[in-house]
Formats: sequence, C-alpha cells, structure tokens
Amino acid sequence: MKIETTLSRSEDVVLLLNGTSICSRIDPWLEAQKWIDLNCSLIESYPTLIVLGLGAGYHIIRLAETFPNKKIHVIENNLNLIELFDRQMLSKNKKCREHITCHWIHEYKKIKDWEFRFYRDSRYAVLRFNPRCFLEKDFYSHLEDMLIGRKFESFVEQARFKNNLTFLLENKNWLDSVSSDQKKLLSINEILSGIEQQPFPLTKEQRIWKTLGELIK
Amino acid sequence: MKILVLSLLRLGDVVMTTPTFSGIREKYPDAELHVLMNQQFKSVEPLIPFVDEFKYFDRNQLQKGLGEANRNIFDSFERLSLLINELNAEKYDLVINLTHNYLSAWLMGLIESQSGKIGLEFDEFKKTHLNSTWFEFFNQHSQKYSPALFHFSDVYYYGSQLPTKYHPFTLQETERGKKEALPYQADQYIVVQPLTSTDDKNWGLDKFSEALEHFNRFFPSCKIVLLGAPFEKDQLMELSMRLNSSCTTHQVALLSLEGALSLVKKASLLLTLDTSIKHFASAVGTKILELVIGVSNFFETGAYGNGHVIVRSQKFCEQKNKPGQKYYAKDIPPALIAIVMRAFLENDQFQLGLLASEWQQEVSIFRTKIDESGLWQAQVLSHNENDDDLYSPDRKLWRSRLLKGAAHCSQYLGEEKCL
Repeated sequence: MKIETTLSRSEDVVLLLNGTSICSRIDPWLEAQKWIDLNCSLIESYPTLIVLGLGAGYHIIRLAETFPNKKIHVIENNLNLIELFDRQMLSKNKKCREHITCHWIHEYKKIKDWEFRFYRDSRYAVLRFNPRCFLEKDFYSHLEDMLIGRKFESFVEQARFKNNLTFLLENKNWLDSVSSDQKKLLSINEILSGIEQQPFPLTKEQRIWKTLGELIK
Repeated sequence: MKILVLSLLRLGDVVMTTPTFSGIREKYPDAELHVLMNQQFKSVEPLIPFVDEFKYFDRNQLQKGLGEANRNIFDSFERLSLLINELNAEKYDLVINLTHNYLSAWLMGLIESQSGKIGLEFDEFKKTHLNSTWFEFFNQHSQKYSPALFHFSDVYYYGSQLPTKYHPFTLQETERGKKEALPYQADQYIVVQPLTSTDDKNWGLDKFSEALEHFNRFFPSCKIVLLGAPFEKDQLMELSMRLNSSCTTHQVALLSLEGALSLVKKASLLLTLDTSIKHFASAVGTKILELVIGVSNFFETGAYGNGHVIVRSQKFCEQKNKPGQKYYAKDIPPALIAIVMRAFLENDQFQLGLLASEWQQEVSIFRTKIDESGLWQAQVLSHNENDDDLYSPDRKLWRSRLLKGAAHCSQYLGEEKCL
C-alpha cells in the first residue's frame, strides 16, 4: 500500500494509505483525545491495552501520555506504518516508548501463533482505532473476535489455555450445542449450561463460574 | 487470629453490621478483622471503626466483564479468581457471611478457613451450611412472619455468635467530614433527606415541601438543611425552589458520606425515608423520624435504637409491574408530619401518643425500643400503649429459643431451605 503525507488543518502530519487518510484531516490530536474519551471506561479497567490499528499513531502517543502505567500493545498489519511511527514519533518520545510495543501481524495464520501470550491472563482491553481498521475491516474484525473470545472458534482457542475449562472442550454434547451458530456471541450462560451437565463434586473453577452466574440473575 | 466478614449488600447493610464488628472486637480482642464489601461503597471505609483491613468485591467490573460484548469472556473469571486467591492467602481462622444470598454462599464455599465458618455457604455438592441457629432461623422461617420478627442488625449480630447485650451502631467522624458539614450547622437545626435510591420509596417533593412549610411556622428559629448526594442536586434544587416560594428558610447540603455523618451528628432531628443516612443518625445518637413508603420493610431495617419514631400510612397500594405485592401508600398527611416533628423535638411523648390515636385511621405511628434481651422492636404508639401488641407471640417464642442457643432450637430448625 502506498503511503503519502499531507498536512491537517491543525498543521500536523496526516498519513494517507492508497489515498485514504488514516487519521483526522482536521486535527489528529483532537481526534486522538476523543477516541480516548470514548474508550475511557474500558481503558481504566485493565492493566494491558491491545490497540487494533496504528494509523498515524497520534492516539497511541496520547494514550501512553494519559495512562503512563498501562502496557500498550499495538497491532498493525502494515510494516511501513510501524517503521514510520517508530522513526517519527516514538524516537522523539522516550517516556512513551517504554510502554508501547508494536506488533506486525499481516496474515490470519499468524494471529494464532501470536495471541496465546495474552490468553493465559485474559485481563486486557481490546480497542479498535476505526480510521485504520476500516480500511482492512475483515482482518481487524477477525483479530478482535479472536482476542475477545466470544465467538465459538475464538472461545475454543482461548479455552485451550485454561486448564479449568478442559471439561467443556471434552463434552461433545455441549460443543455441538454451542457450535451450531459460529457467528453467535457466547455468554456466561453457555458456560454455565456446560457446568450444569457436570456431576458433583464441582471443582473450584466450576464454583467460581457458578458465583459469577449469580451476578447476571 | 484473623477473621473475615462478608458484607456484600448495600451501604445501609454495612452500617447495620457495625455492631457485629464491635462484637467481634470484644469477643476476640487480639484478632485482626477484615471485611469484604462491595467496591462501590468504598467511600464509607473511613467511617467504620473496628476493622483492620477492607477487601473489595468489584461487582460493577465483574458484571461488565460478563455482559459487555467487547470484553474478554474470561475477564471476570480471572478477576474473581485473583480475589479468591488474595483472600485465601490471608489464611483466615474464621469467616462469617452476613450476606444471605446465593452469590455470597458460593463465594463463602471458595474462601478457606482454618477453624470455622459461620453463615450461608454452598459446598462442592451445593449442600447448604449455616453453622448458626439465628441464620438457620432466618433461612427457614423469616419470610413466614409479617411483620418480620427481628431486625436485620440483630440477626447479623446474634447470628455471628456474639455475647448477648445491647449493641448500638457505631460510626466515627472524620476531620474532613467535620469541615465539610461546618457551613451548614447552626445552634438548632434539623436535617431532611427527601430522596431514596428508588422512586418507589420516595414520599414526594410536594409533600416534603408542605410539611416543612408547616414546620417552619411552628419552629421559625430551627434551621432546615436539605441533605443529598451531589448526584441528587437537581431534585433537591427543585424542592429548594418550592420552599423558597413559600418563604421557608432552608439550606441545601450536597455532601459526601463523611460530611453527611458530621452534619447529622449535631442535628436535633433527622427526617428521612428508607435510607442509609438513617443508620448514620442511629450511629451518632440523633433522633430519627422515619417515613415508610413503598417496599420499605421497617421491621427489618428501621431506625435502630431507642426512641426513634416511624410513621407509615394505613393504606396499601399495588404496583402495576408487580401485582399482588403490597406497598405502603404515600398518602401520609404532610401537616401531621410537621406536628409529629414538633412533638418529637419537644420530647412531648403525651402529644405523640395523642396524635397516634387521633390519626390512627390514616397512619400508624411507632416508637422504637430495645427490649430487655437487647433486641430491637417497633411499638405502636397510642394513648393506651401496649408493648407487644404488634408482634405475634411468635417473637417471644423465637426470641426465647434463639437466645437459649442451638440445643433449644435444633428440633424447630429441621427443614432445609435456602433463600
């Protein structure tokens, strides 16, 4: 993809991918701030933030400045954008650099190899930067699904890393019932229905799910 | 020794458990006391004495993690696992559950204890354990009786197997609270808290306005302070405008919990509905006039202590969305409330009795009392007062059984039931 530059009305650099801008042409810093405000409750709830789409990087710098204690992982499928960001923005901002890691992931098959590092903990927020994700909607949507784990394929993928959920993956009836609609978002109710099929005594982890089940009644 | 108490209900319930905290401190003077409560009530922490450490259950985050499609499906599981691991790392000797619901029962089963647990617990077979005659009574029989036989605070206290005695609520003032309340205090003032957490339990701003207008005529020198939380500003300002139009002098105080406690502490009277602030007033010995509206169950959570006054309508109404369930109607006459306030402020018990008799078609007026066993009760006030007229003989029977202990109760506490 061809990268070009132009200036915004606020006189900041705007990046264009094949002629389409990947940040605001009016004021990219203001856009970055609005993006943070929009996602604030999600950002504040997690120690680790996974941002889908680097764009021109204004939102990443503003995020690192606003939340200096968060670990920020950025996923971008255009290596040139990452290099540009590194050269133009990160190199001038050493404080932010410590908290930001950019990952170049450009193929579906590599997603799986990469993601498992996060799956063990699960306590991360997934944040989309739409001006960038919109240009490669399918890629970023798939990535988002895999990281959130609420569709059947991604749920099974993540559950493989959770020892306490192997009982679900071994339960054929349960797998058949929840896999009938691959696009459906799974909820705790599906997990609880699998636990209901388990004989007593319940394991510690199954009882944690039962406790959580009381929060949605 | 380390003790953990689970108190996972609302703010008022946390205040109602303060006697249990002081009782634990008295029974186990060298123990370290930890309390697990809902994160949303963290701001009450500086007011609660006797507790060495607070742990928090972040219900909001857990619910968001479960319900919001943009959060990882395992997020809440990980959060709750971390909390349970953190609690178990404390190696508690005794764990007491004062929250009688399924959520706390499962949680209780996950928290390890070196030598004992008291209160509702589900084990890995979903078998119920209570280990307390009071909690067994509460679990099996409490809903049979209307009015409820015992105040929640008494059930928490005696359920925790603490020594028999009167056990008042206790809260401690903070310097920040004193400073916050200072501009609103005067030689003589009353505090009015006109809003509750749900509309069902509100009396109505028009009625408060009318009652306060009358009261101001009786007691022009007594300052009126309208109390609320900052998020209630709009409604309080509406009431304030109504009072301004009738030239009723008053002030609006939008305070933190710390400020509210200090404000209420020096007040001559608190006029309130079913709110946690009434428990604050109880904890600092301020007179309470409680109006019971809607779903409020004052026999379980009414103004605690001796000599408070509770008024409720004689009429019931039905809510559209819950047919069959009865609610106390809102039609308590405002003028009567103003007269009751005056009599109560002047300690005119005779006048209160007369009012109760004269208005008995419209309202019931109760006075609270701690009985000889240290248990709270509400007595109907009338000219010809009869102490136990309201409660069935069941209260005396159960009080006697429960205070005598497990051996006397076991034969009456057989069937298993869980709320």
